Amino acid sequence: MSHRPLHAWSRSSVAVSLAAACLCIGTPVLASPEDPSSNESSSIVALHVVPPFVRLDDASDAPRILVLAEDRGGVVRDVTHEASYDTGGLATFIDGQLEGARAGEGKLVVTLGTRRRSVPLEVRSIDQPKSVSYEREVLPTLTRAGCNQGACHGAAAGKNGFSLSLFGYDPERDHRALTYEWNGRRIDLLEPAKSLLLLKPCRDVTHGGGKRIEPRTDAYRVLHEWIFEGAPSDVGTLPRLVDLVVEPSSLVLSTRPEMARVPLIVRAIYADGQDRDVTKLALLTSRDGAVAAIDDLDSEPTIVAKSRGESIVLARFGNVAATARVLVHEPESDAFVWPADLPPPETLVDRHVEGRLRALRTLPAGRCSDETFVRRAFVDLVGMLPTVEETRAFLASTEDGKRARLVEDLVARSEFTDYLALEWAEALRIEARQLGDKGARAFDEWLRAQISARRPFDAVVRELLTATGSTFAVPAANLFVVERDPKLIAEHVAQAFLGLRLQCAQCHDHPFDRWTMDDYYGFGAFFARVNQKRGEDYRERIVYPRFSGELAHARTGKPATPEFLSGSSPKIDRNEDRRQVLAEWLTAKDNPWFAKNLANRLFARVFGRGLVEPVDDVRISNPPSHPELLDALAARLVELEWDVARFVTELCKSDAYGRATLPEGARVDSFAGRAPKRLEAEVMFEAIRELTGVRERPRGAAPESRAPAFPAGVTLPRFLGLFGRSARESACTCERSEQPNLAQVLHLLHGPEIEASLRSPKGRLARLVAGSATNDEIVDELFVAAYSRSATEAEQKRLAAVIGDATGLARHALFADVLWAIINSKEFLFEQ
Amino acid sequence: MNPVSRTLRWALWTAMVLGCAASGLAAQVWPKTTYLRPHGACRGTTVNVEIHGTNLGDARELLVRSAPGYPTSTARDIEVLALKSVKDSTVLATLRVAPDARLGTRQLRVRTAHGVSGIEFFRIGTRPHVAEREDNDAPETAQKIELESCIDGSLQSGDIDWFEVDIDRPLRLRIEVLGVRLGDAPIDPRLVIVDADGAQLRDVDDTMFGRMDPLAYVDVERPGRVRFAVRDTGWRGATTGADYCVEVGTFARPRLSKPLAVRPGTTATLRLLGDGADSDDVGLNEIRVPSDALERSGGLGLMAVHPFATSNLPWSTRIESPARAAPTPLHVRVSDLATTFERDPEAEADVPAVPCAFEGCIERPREADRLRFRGKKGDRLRIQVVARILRSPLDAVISIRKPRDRVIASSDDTGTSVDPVLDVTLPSDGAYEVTITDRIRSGGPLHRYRVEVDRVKRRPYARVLPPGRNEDHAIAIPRGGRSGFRVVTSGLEAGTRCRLEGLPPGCTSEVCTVERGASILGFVIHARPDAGLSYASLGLSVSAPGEDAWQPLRIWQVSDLVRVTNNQPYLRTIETELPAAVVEELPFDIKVVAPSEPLVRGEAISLSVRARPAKGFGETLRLRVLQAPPGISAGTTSLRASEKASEKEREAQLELRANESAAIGTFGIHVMARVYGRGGFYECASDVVKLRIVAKPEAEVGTK
Repeated sequence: MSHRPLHAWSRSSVAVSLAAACLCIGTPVLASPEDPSSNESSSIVALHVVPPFVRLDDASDAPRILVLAEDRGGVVRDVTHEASYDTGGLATFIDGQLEGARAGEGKLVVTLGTRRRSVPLEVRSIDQPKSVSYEREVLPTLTRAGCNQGACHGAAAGKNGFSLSLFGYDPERDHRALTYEWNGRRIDLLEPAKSLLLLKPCRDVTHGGGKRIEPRTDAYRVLHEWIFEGAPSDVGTLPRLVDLVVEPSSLVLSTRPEMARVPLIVRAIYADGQDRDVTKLALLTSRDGAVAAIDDLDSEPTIVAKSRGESIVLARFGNVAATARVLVHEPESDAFVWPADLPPPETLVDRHVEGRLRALRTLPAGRCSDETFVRRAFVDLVGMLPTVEETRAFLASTEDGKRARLVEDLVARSEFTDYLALEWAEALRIEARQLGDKGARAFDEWLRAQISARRPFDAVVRELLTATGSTFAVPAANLFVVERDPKLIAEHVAQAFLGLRLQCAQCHDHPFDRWTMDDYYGFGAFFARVNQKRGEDYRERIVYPRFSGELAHARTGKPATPEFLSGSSPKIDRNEDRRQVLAEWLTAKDNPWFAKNLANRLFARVFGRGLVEPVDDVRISNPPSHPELLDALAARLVELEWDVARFVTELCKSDAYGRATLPEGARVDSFAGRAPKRLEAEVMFEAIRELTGVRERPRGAAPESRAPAFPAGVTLPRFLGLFGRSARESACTCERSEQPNLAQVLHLLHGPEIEASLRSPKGRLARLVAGSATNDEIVDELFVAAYSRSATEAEQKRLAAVIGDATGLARHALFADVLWAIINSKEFLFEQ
Repeated sequence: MNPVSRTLRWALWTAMVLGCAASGLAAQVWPKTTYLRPHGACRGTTVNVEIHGTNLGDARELLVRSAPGYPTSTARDIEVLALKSVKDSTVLATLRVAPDARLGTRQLRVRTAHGVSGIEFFRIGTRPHVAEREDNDAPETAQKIELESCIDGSLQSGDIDWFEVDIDRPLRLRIEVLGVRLGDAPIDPRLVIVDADGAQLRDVDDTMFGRMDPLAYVDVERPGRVRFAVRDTGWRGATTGADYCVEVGTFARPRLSKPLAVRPGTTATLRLLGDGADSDDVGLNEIRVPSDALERSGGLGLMAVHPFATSNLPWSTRIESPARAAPTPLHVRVSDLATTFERDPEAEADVPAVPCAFEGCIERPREADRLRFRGKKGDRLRIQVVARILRSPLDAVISIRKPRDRVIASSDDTGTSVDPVLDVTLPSDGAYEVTITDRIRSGGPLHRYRVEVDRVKRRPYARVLPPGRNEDHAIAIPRGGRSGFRVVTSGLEAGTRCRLEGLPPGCTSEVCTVERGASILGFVIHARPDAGLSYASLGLSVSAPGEDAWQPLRIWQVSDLVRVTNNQPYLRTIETELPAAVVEELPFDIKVVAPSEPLVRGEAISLSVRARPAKGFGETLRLRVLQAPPGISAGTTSLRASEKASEKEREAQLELRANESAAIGTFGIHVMARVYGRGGFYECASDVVKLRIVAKPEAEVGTK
């Protein structure tokens, strides 16, 4: 099987990488020219030609050329129509496209003023008869017209008796549907124009899908000529499509009309090295059309700036997708200047975050207060609020580097292990419903032991993937009891350890990512021979590998050959455990997803959101906000030999981590500051317990244990489910919910447990009221315990008026009201 | 007296009267035991034992028997000095354990005037018992104990019990926890051992040897203090406490023997393995195996051996070093088969013929052993692996083939047992090869196995069916009444007669005959009104069709002592003699009116059942047929047996339906009547009625 180049994370073929690098590194984005009155000069410093080499394979090959002029500020503008072209007679250049004139090799020389660039030009053939390719032209035309989308004929049941595969993932089946079904009534080989395939989308006859194609367009021409040529199929005869490139892959536009438009080029790379312009055949969409929209799709697809923001352009052709990033500025930001007095970034995170902030023309928020920092660090790292003593000690300290010291101390605590284990327990779906109480508990304890021992994460995952034996004696084997179907095991593994959601590809090629059914079943085949049986104990399972058995491909019915997601098929000995082979690949340092997934999850833990968000939804159409940062963090994690604690410590020592809170509505994925985030269910539960001083031990939990450490099998307090604790029915991070709802509000306002805690004779309030503390001192302690800050003078004054001279039970009741108000305040419930 | 207080008094009196009546009637409910404390005793001590349960009032006798795999316990081993019901829920017993009492587990039952309870385990050991003191839930407040001790402890929800022992010399400290093996509750204990500085030395949950019970050792090199804690793995415990015992000492704790099997009537030298690490070999133990060891094995073919508690004398009672004696036994297989030990399978000489046995070890991961034997075409063989049942970690998978030929058959687990059994008929004469390997391809010095190759033998047996799901059973025969129970038989041909042996004085029982197509027999025992309250162990004997002689038949009764999720059995014990007691007369009787017409195949009739309650009795009787003839299905019903009820109300109809192929003939039918009371039930059987079953009339058949 030919090796398919890695495509994830916007990486592309070598030549294109070089071109993208030239355009992106150093000058991070491509930009349209700015107003001459801006701070940056507008004179041309470089001329770029896209693509960096041109090859015409046959008479139907007509690649687009884009010429971009770069000015001093790194901004580029489209000068394609201003430049002149010399092909040495090999081709003619018309309206931005080349058509071959004679076979040969030479150069395409582009001249603009005094500047000149040349790129290699090769015309392989012009004699090949022009014939329409079913796979390369007809199917993409139907995709572009929307015929095979999920809402139309691509639906499972099709529409009106005509069913196509979703986005054309099954070309053979589609060919039968187009040419054979219903006695071939959909095409008319003698009078192609009378084919239903043309009449319907042109709305010349009734069509529920409306008008999808205009006559006298390229789309119409492709279908017409194909039918005229006898509607042949070339499926399986052509080199395989392996990659897709959108160019420019990253650009900055302005909403000024004269700078708002840049054409796009989409190129398809094939296994035999062919590189063809498919701009007019690819389906192009913009994720946020209000920021940047696609225009002139049928003639010259162009990205048009609409309003300030960022969008992703998704190109889809065949079973491959690619993206480009578009950043749009408005003229008001043209005067943006990065403050000279801001200290230079020192950490890896800060360097990349600042680079992006500069590109976004956004200033970072200032440093947060110590009060905010101590509360934030405790919540993020150990899932609890600092005690009054811990807060006061931190605030009082004048030690240099006290924030860094605090981070190191927190990471060394057992609560850090517990909180990290909680996240992975969710990803591994450790719960008693499937695993039984004993199995779930054993699995949970094993996980905590690995994290507590700071075992390298790659070794932990290898042990998980190859676990064999009793689910009691070898708790990692419980991974194969959570799911038993090899397909579902594969989905679970991909989502938990690689951040990939393969689910869609079980039934069809993934509509928004690169995964095909072949990928899905090839990956699933690694788990086809995992078996299990009952153990000696009724509750126990024995997991073991067999040496026969296959996973049938849903489309072909044939056994799927184990294939890595990167496209290669390993050689596996007959008596070898396939999982062993997979584990080595998955945890390898150069695996494209493993290190990034872990780095991204840890980043999200600390910063409140990942560089890819959601963290387990890595796909082409959901690229990272800071791709270079993610690459660098992954490399750093490998360098640290998967020491999660050290990695997290480094993240927390960045300036970005210590920034102030952003105002509501501010853009959060720039990490210019911190977005407020509601406390997670377990953290909130513990915070209330700590604040009120009332701790009931749930049945099955160790004495003095805390909610993040409640193992599976414990009878969980109702509070946790109410506030969004994951039910662990899937590996999806979406199972944990932070959406507010009325039940939560009512529980905090009137819940019996909260009421009881406030009035408990054993709680904090009772102790304070019975002691010698004054009203002010009690208020201050409550504020420090809840908010990690003292009450302001105004707050003290207002509350003093409430408490007045009350004594005894009345005083307790009033303070209970104060504490109730604190619990229901946003400052308590949210992390700043 | 004012009206309110008058009303109140009336209400109180009524409640008292009803309560007395109810309690009096409830006293008939068969006794149940839930736990006892302590769970054992040291030889040469006298111990007060509390037995808890329900309906234990009027206790008459404490029955003490050996667990399967042990020799029969003698009265002088454990003497019951006193027995008293303190209240309905508790019996106090004073037991004197002889200084030379045999080690191991006894099975106790409490006989009251109304029944016999289920089994409670009681262990005899060599270490003195000490009760746990409950303020020991932190290392700082650990309870001090002596080195050679057996702790009787109990865990509540969220509880953890800390203990400490001072070590005055270098030694190997052993700690073995018995939780679920006490036979009370599905406790899942966890053992944590720390050194004097609090550093964790061991954290043990399940073990292959103890299953849910942990055991561990620590090599203490310097004098000092060692602390350890016991808790429930899930922090659950029980409201009244989930009990455990901890044996602490310097005892040897081998986990497997080599060889794995002994032959009856011989002296066997066992090498004891796995004392510490798997590869540890703790030495030799010579034992004399009684010639009836197989009969005493409870049908499992196993014998319990307490390492270093047995020497050259049969079932030795003399223990040279009590400290060295392991607190719990390992088991060996009792077998007559000659054993071939592991060797080169290609060696042609001395390939044994069937029947034969092999012993070996899967020493390394991925290893597979090949064992060869000679057989003849048509031999119906049973190839059985004995490994896990002796606590070998091997999860055996076997297959059989002719050498270098295709596999004929293979087997992994058998039912709920990890040890495979393969039944195969040999296709031709010659040598055959059995391959044995581990399911998960592991191996080690303790992955020992025994493979027995023998001809399939028809060995008849009978097994008692419990009276209901998840219920223990002991036969209680009311004076002047009858008790019924069922057994399922195997290997008996139709026409075989079966009778109970060893009935208590004053009791009789009818002979049952095995019907064609039926394997379940219903036995009814009748006790005369003047029969004394007594106890007996029943056996069963059979007489083949056409023969006069009676032969004993193996019979056993299984008791599930511990169940886990979904009531799945976790710990079972077996008895080969059935406990039966004559108990007080019941406050009711039932009479079944014999049907005047025969039951025709394909049709149904009703049996009329009438209750005859004693004065003051007013309970509901649940009625069912003890055992219907083949092809007959019987419904259930209930009636209120109250003297205040009318004649009509005291009669119920039980439907019997015959299918089209029901057995034809005249059969005896008994109806069982059960009363549910406080925490249990009691029941009795009716007298026999004859039921004639006939075929459909021919004219009717022709018409159809």
